[in-house]
Amino acid sequence: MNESIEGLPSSFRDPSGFLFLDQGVLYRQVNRSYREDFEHFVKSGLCSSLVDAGLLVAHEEVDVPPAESLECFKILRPDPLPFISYPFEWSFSQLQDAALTTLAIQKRSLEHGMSLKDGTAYNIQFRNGKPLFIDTLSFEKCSEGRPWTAYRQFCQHFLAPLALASYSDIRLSQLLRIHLDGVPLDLASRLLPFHTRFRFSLLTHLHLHAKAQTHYADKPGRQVRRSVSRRALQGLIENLESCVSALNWKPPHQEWASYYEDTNYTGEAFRHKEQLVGEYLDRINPKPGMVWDLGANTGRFSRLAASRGMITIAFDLDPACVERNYRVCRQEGDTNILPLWVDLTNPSPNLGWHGRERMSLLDRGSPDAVLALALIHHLAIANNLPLSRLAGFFGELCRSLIIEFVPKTDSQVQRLLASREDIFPNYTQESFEQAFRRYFEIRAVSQIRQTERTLYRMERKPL
Amino acid sequence: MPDRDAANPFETREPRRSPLRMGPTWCALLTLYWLLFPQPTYAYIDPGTGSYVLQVVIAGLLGALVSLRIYWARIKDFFKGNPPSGGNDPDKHE
Repeated sequence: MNESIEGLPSSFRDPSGFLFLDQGVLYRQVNRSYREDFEHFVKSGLCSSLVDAGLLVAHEEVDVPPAESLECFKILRPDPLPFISYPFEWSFSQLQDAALTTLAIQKRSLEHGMSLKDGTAYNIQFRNGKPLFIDTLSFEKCSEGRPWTAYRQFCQHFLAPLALASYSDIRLSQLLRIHLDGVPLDLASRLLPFHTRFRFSLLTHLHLHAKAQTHYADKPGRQVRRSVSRRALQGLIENLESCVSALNWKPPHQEWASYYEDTNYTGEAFRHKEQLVGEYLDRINPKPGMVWDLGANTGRFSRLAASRGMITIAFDLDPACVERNYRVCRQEGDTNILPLWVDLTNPSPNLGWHGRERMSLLDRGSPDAVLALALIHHLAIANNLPLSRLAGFFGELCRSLIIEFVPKTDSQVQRLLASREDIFPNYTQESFEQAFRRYFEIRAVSQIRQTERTLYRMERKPL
Repeated sequence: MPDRDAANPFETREPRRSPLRMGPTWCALLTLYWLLFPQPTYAYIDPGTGSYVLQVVIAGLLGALVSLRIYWARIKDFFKGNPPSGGNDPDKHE
């Protein structure tokens, strides 16, 4: 492999090809062994049909040196994506939409005599607010009578976590972070309430599926002569579609829905804060391409950045907030916001083979600007994080920072301190400024009207 | 892609109308089929073997329902005097 070429650590399982970076540009090598399938994929019209429908990432065939020339059939340059997110960072509806997109693609593939050969949720990314299939080499010619090879993976990656979130607890979808090839079906079957066995689709695709896996796990060596007709495959996909669509998740508590009303902000204070954040964003020069809103809640302030054409990743640790944010974005067609479910005190780590297959959150991009609004007291007081460490974290993360300082006298901080000893003598505005001045220049300071809170705009000092 | 939600983003999404939504009768039928006709497995050890076998059984049942739906549509067309539409039949391309 050429020295300037770097294979992507996540791209090694499929012998059809792999992704590599050459001078920062992402390419996909198509191997000779995949030639027949790839030619059918293009000539049958499936590729263009999926790209035109916005279901598959577009690519361009390019003439660049291959990463491994002996194997190479073609080199593709896929359209770049602004940010890579992982299924365990998605809200319920994001995972559900990703599942339905996968099934829609499989349906269309069958119409073109092809089938998806894998059903992993990692083949979906969110771009412009919508799920997008990113693996151009996932399609194989559908031989007559052959079952859907990705059925097991689809059930593990999508159906099991969605059913667990819907019927047991939303937090169980975090099992995807532990099990990179999807939630084991025997585990899902054990965790789901008994009454889910009375729903045909869950009984079959999860409970009986789990039993079948266990039953046949130690029975090698015999042959199956039965096959699956095209019509039967269509029936299977339609049933999975109906099953996934029928799943729903409602947060067990409703107060989050009016979270912003549960703060100590008056309407006037809120409007003033919005105006200040907007002005601060406008003053950042050069204009940020990507903004991370940390502790974004339901994304009200993320929308200020998104409406200015900035790609905004809205992180929150409350799955209900992320869910609401996504639903509002989807409803309003807000294409610049990607809501993600991330706990900032325990962000997604490196995972998988060699600890490199799935990247940690902080390895997946660096924002030009960060919004940290009504966040610092949660980190400093609720998580005992010293201000110096917080300043170091933000100094490493971004060049522009819009951050709100919430003093101890604020009712929200008082609430955090109500049931514990105040061991934070250094949590003062002076200490905050001192800690952040080590990494940043403070460019603007404004008191938010009718509150005791202060909003800062900072620029990182030259390294 | 699913339908976009209505004004209230948390309004329950209506499940897709599909003739394949089953009731307890089908659960019973399936269980019977499962018990009476166990299928042999594949040629090699594969953690997907159980998935494959289950899929053959389930897809067979669901495929039969798709056929029923198509023929029912044809019968309705016949009595309504509509020209045969051919239905949404994936096998017609084969």
